[in-house]
Amino acid sequence: MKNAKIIYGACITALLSIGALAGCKSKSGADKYDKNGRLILELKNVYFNNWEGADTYTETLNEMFQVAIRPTNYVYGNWDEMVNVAINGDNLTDVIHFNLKAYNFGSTYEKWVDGQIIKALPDDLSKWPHLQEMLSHVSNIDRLKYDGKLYCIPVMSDIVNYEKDFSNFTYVYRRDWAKQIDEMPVNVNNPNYIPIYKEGDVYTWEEFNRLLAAFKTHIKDITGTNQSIPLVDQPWAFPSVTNFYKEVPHCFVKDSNGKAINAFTSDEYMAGLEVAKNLASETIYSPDQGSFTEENDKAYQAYKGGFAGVLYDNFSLANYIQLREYMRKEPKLDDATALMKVKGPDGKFALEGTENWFSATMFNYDISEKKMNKILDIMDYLLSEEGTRLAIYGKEGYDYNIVNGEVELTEKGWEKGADGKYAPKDNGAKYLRYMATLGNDTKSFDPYTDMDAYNILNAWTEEMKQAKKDGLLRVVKEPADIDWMSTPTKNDKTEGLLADANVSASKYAMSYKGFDKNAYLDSFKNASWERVLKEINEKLGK
Amino acid sequence: MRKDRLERLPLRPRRSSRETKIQAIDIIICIILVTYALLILFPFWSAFVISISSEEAYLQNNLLLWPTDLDLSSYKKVFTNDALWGGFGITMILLIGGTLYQLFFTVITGYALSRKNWTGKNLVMNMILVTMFFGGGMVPYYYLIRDLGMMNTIWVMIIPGAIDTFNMLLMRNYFASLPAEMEESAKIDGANDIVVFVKIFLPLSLPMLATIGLFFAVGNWNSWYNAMLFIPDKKELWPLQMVLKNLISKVSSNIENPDAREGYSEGLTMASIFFTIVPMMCFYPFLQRFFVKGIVVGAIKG
Repeated sequence: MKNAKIIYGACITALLSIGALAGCKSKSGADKYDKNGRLILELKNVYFNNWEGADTYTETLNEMFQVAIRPTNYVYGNWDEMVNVAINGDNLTDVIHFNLKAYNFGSTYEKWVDGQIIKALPDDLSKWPHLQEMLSHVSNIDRLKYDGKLYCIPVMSDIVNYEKDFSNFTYVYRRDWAKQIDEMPVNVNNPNYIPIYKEGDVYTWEEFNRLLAAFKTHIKDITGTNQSIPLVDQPWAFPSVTNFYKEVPHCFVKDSNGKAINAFTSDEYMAGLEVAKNLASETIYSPDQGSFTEENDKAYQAYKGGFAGVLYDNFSLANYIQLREYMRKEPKLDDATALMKVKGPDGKFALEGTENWFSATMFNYDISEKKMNKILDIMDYLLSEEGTRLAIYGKEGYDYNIVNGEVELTEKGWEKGADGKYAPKDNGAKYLRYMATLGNDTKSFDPYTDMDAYNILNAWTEEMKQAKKDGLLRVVKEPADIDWMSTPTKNDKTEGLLADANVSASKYAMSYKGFDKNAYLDSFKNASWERVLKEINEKLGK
Repeated sequence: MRKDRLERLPLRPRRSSRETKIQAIDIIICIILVTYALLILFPFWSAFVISISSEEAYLQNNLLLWPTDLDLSSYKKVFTNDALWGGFGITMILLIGGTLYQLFFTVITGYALSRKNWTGKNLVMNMILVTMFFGGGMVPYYYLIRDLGMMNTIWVMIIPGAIDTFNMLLMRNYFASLPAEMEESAKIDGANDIVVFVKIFLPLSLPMLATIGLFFAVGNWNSWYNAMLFIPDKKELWPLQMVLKNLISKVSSNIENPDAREGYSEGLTMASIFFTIVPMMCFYPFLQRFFVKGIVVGAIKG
């Protein structure tokens, strides 16, 4: 028996030793080469979703830079989690991509810099002039620097029109219905009737509310359906009408003394919330609006299904094109997806402010200088004119030719489908360019762009830019000193506080049982809010 | 016996009028059971109806009871989707290879632990049993997998699941319930331990093998979580359910996207869901007859 115990002990010790030895492995990030001797680059990005990395354009880049590009993607729904799992599991690819925001940079980026998770860009970027030029236009870039070093490449929305500081969060409406309502006999024959459709789609606050009321009355008559939702918001934006009242989009606003207070209990926000509550009680908003989620996609379904009159969303070009694709069976597509320009009670348009970049590309701390330089070489090349042509048109001589200084697409490179549109083809260069920019600079000449949608959205952008110059656009934006402030509790709690606040606002606006104004205000009376505001005000010296 | 006597004898016991009469309670039970069955079947039916209806019909009425405006384009897209077929292939490898591998280790462990009086039996048993109640936790497990070099390999979805303790206990109890005399007589006839196991105990264990095989197969068919955690960088190794999750994952529109959002309609989602559940639904009834029997025989002996 004694011998048996010794044998067991020896066996267990041996097993544990094997397990421990298995834990010894080389540090990640060491340079690896493929069978052709090309440096392997493991690049991960949420926008690589539809790209496998085996196309001829990627191979062109592989040959040009003597690398073997291995792309992988994050799943949209688990983007943040996948980044965090890789970081906490010390299993990073050479390049990572994160949804970096002002409110989460303290709890992520700042910690990753301190923890030597991500690597700083070289101090001297002159070797990469296009990249350097792009970075010089990034808004609030100094907030992302530590000891003068930048640890990421913010993905710029538009490297040409970088001055734009407002988002495309706005309304689309059924202009065709507005026109039809005006032409209804009951309205035409009413001498007191004021037409609801406004030429140019610019609506004052009063006109906007009148249009919503008319939609409530007449949508069923127009569509013949038994459902009617005059106004529907994407769940993350509900209630959108507060935009015309509130001063900041998120949690913190300064009072008249410059002291930070809770934006969700400010007088301005409460006024907007009361308007939303009234619209909900009048069933201008659907009674189910409070239960809409991104997953069930009900807001879009209502608009696509032809029983919602006005939809609030982020109408980036991609999203706007997609909406028009959904609505393609409408006989007058432009009228069914018209961008609406609403002025608030103060007579001004109101749009949420934004940085001119979205998300950031970062580098694994362990990658070699050689590897980092290669990646920067590729990014810089793709921002050059030649690289942009590779990303958008393909290879010269095959996909396109330059004739009289103009690009001419070839038939063999650009086949058309039965619908007359260019058949989709994988182009790794295009995906790789997303590591630096969302590519809005190329949309005007990208053969895949729906130019009708582009022109409509571009006209809207120009109109809003002009309105801003004329003092008619209010950009709703958090004070930068608070937005980018890093305090321990703010870093950890802001995201949760924002989510809870949106739930409370939604409950109050939808008049949830037992959730009156006092209950709404009470939902903010907790230690987290108090501690965060205290820390912010201490830093502000208030 | 006389013929008239035979005719007078009832061929089967007569039921009393009380027995043949349908009582109110029968109707209530029947209604409850039918309602319950409908509640279970309705989501499947609804998903199927949406998958073969046009998007317009669905948008007009989310609660479709019957196919409206028949449209099979969703299935056309599903059946021409390379990613789904790739996922299907990986899942089939898991289903066949993984299930056989798990069955092998679970069964031989169960058999060994059902045999009497070998030294260290209790120690081994307790070491396995303790994993039912205490786990190392997600983070250590993640580090273990990573350091064993199994990240981004198909092995991570197979190797760690060699022994399922619960199923191993079922197997062990079943083997233990078989008469020990069979083993003794076989050994008298010259059979060694492996012959006894393969030629005597294994053939008698078919219901149990089918039962736990089904458990493993269903588990392997539905697996996606390990792929999400441990195969983040090789899409070609994602099993079917992970591919499905990736496909139907809705992008929040406040995430900027340089390309148009995936126009993954509800019909396409439902068709994809059907694509992933139908094979298992077809497979299940053939093994179901073993299912209850296997559970019962494995559970009666402690």
